[in-house]
Amino acid sequence: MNREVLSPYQFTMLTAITISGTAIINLPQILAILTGQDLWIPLAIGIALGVIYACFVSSLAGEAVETGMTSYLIDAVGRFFGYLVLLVVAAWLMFIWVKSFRQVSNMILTALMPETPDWALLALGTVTTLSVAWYGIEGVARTTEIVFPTVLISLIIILVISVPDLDPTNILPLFQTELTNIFRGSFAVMTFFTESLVVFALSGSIRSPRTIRRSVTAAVLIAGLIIMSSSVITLFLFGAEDLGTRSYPLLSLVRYVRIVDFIDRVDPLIISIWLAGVIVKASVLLLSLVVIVEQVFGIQRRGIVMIGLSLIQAILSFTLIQTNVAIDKLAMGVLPTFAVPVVYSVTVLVWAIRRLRRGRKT
Amino acid sequence: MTARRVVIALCLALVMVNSGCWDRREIESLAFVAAVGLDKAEDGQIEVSVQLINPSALGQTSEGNAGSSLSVWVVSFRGRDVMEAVRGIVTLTGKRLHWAHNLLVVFGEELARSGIKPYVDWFRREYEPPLRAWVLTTPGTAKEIIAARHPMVQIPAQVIARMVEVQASVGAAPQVDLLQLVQSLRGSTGQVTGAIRVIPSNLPKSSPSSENLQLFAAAVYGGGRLLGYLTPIETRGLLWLTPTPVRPIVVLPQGKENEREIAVEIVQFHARMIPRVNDSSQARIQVEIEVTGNVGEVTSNQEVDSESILRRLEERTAAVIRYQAERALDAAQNRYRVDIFGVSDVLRKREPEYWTSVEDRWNDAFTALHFDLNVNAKIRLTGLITNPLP
Repeated sequence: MNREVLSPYQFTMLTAITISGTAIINLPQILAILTGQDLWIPLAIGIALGVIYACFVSSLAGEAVETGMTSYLIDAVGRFFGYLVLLVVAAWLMFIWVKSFRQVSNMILTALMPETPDWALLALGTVTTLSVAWYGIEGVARTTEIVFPTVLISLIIILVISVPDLDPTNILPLFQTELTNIFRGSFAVMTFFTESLVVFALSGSIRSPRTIRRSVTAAVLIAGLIIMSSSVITLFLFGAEDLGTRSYPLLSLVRYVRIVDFIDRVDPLIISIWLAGVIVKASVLLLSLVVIVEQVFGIQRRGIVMIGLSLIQAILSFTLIQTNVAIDKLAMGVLPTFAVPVVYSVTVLVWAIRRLRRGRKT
Repeated sequence: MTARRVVIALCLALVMVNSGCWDRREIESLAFVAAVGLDKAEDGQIEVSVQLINPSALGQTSEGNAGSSLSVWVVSFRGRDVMEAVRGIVTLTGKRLHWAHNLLVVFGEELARSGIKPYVDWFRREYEPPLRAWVLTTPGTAKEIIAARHPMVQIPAQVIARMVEVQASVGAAPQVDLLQLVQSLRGSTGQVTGAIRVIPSNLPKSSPSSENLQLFAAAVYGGGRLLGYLTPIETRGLLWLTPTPVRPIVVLPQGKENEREIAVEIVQFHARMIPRVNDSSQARIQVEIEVTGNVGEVTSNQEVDSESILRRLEERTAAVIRYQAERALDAAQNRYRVDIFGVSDVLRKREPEYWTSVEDRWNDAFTALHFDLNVNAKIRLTGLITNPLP
C-alpha cells in the first residue's frame, strides 16, 4: 500500500465533509416527521453519541496505523470475526455510498434536470468520483481544502441571509414528543456518524497518528454543528409541520432566501457547491473500500479495484433504492432500528475485546 | 495499462454525457413568467393566465412607447388543474415557461370563494416557482389584473410587486407570500392575502393603460375559501395585530368636527400576543403593541412643541391604534368567525394543553376569546419644524 500522508487539518476536513455531506439533504425532514419541533433533542443526543462513537473509532484507528485495518482486526478478534467485521464495515460503507448517490441524483432530478435519465446522473457521479479518487487520498484531501471551506461559507451565508425570515418560536412547545420517537430520531442522526468509520480504513494515510483522536473529534463536532444548524434554521423557517413534508428542506430554504433585491436565486450556486462536497464524500468512501479490499485480498492493482467497486456501486444505486419514499423509509425504519445498533455494537465490541486481550497479555 | 484505458474511456463517456445534456434550455426557447393569475372557468375548469416577458421589446424605452410596446404578453389556458393548464400554455407560446422570476400569484374571486387549497400544491411541488411570490386576491378576475398595463413601466408585474412592498408605509394591505399562505393554510387558522382591484384611470381611453390597479384591503379566507374583505380601518387593525413589516400611518382627528388632522408616521412597530389560561381553562389573549412614531403632518393649528403635548398625542395615537385593532378583532370574531391573526399558532406553541382542548372547535373558541389590548405609543420627532403656521 502506498503510504500517502494527510495533515491533521486535511484529515479533519475529509471526515467532517464525509459525515455531513448528505446529512443536510433530508435529515431535517426525517427528524421533523419523527419528533416535530423537538428535533433539536434527537440532534443533541445523536451528536453526543456520535462524538463518543468517533472516540472509539479514532482509538481503533490510532492503533491500526502501523498494521493496517485488516491485520489489526484479525489480531484483535481473530481471523473469522476479523473478516466478518471487515465485511460488515465494507458493506456499510458501500451502502452509504449507494444511498448518498441515489439521494443526490434524486435531488438533482427534482431541482435541476428533471428530464435527464437517472442512470446518466448516476454514471456521471460515479465517473467523477472515480476521477477524483484516482490520484489517491492526498488528491482528494487537496480538493477538500478548496471544497470544504466553500461549503462552510455557503452555509454561513445562507444562515445569515435567512435570519430575517426565521421564527425561533417554531421550536415551541418544548418536550412534546414521545420517548420512542426521540430514540428513533437520535438513531437516525447517529446513522451519519457511523461514517466516521472511514477514519479506521484510512488511518494509514495520516501523517501524525497521535493526532487522530483530536482530528476525528474536531471533525465530528464540525459535522454536528453543520447538521444541527441546517436542521434548526429549516425548522425556524418552515415550522415542524411544513418541514416534515419537504423532501429537501435546506434546498427549499435556499430557494426561498435572496440576497438583497437583485440576487433572487442563489440555489444553483449552492447546489454546485454541495455537489462538490458529495463527490468528495463519495471519493473518501471509495478509497476506504479500496483499502479494505486491497488488504483483504492482497490485490495491488488499485485501478482495477476502484473500477470494480465503482461499477458495483453504480449498479446498486440504479437498482437498490429508487424513490425518495424508499430512502425515507430506510432513514426512519431499517437504518436506525437495525443497521446503526449493529455498526455501533460491532465497533464497541472490537474495541472492548482488544482492550481485554491486551489486558490479559500484560 | 488496461485500467488506464478503461478510465480514459469512462472519462470520454463523461464528456459525452455532459455535452449531451438532456435538460439544456436555450434562452430563446424560454418564456419568462412575471405573474400568474388563477380563475375559475365557466366549465368548472381552472383558467391560468400568465404575464410573459418579451425581452426583445424591453429595450424600447424611447419616449411614448414605454408600456405601449408588447413588452409583456398575457396568455391564458384552461385545464382541470394548474399543471395541465400551465403545460397547455406551451401550445400557445411555443416556448417553455420559466417560472424562476415569477413575482405574483393572483386569485380571482370566484376561484377564491370555491377554495384555493388544491391550487397551491403545484407551486409548492414544482421547483421553479419562487415561494417569495406575493399572493393577492381580486374581487374580479385574476386575468384582469394580469392583463392590466402600467403607464410608467414595461413589466406591470414588477410594479404590482413593488406596490405590495412600498405600501408598507401606508398599511393598505398585508404582505403575504406563497410560503406564508401555505403555512397559514396548514393550520386551522383563517388566512389573509392582500387585495387588489382595477380602478378607472384618468388617462385617455385610447391609452394602453386606461385602468389603474390599487391595493385596497385584506382578503379574508377561512379554510382556504374566500369569505370577504376587510375595510381599510380593519385592515390596519389586522396589521397592528400581526407580526409584519407593514407600518401604517396613524391619522389623529383634531378639532370639534374632526376636520383638521395630525398624521403620525410610524417608524418602529412591535406586536406580540401573550396567551393567559386561568385555572378553569379559560383563555385570554394579552396583546402588547408598541409603536414609535414621528409627527408627519399637522393640518390643524395644534402646537407640537412641548413634551406634554407629545404625551397627549401619544395617548391619542394609542387610542386610534386600539380602535383599529378592535375593529379588526370584531370583523374576525363576529363577521367572518375565523382566526386571521395566528392566535391558534400562539396557543399551540405557548399553551399546548389548552390548544389540544380547543383544537377541534377552534373557530367557536376563537369567537368567544377575550383580547386585552395594551398599546404603548411613543412620539419622538416632529420633522424639520415644530409648530404649524398660525
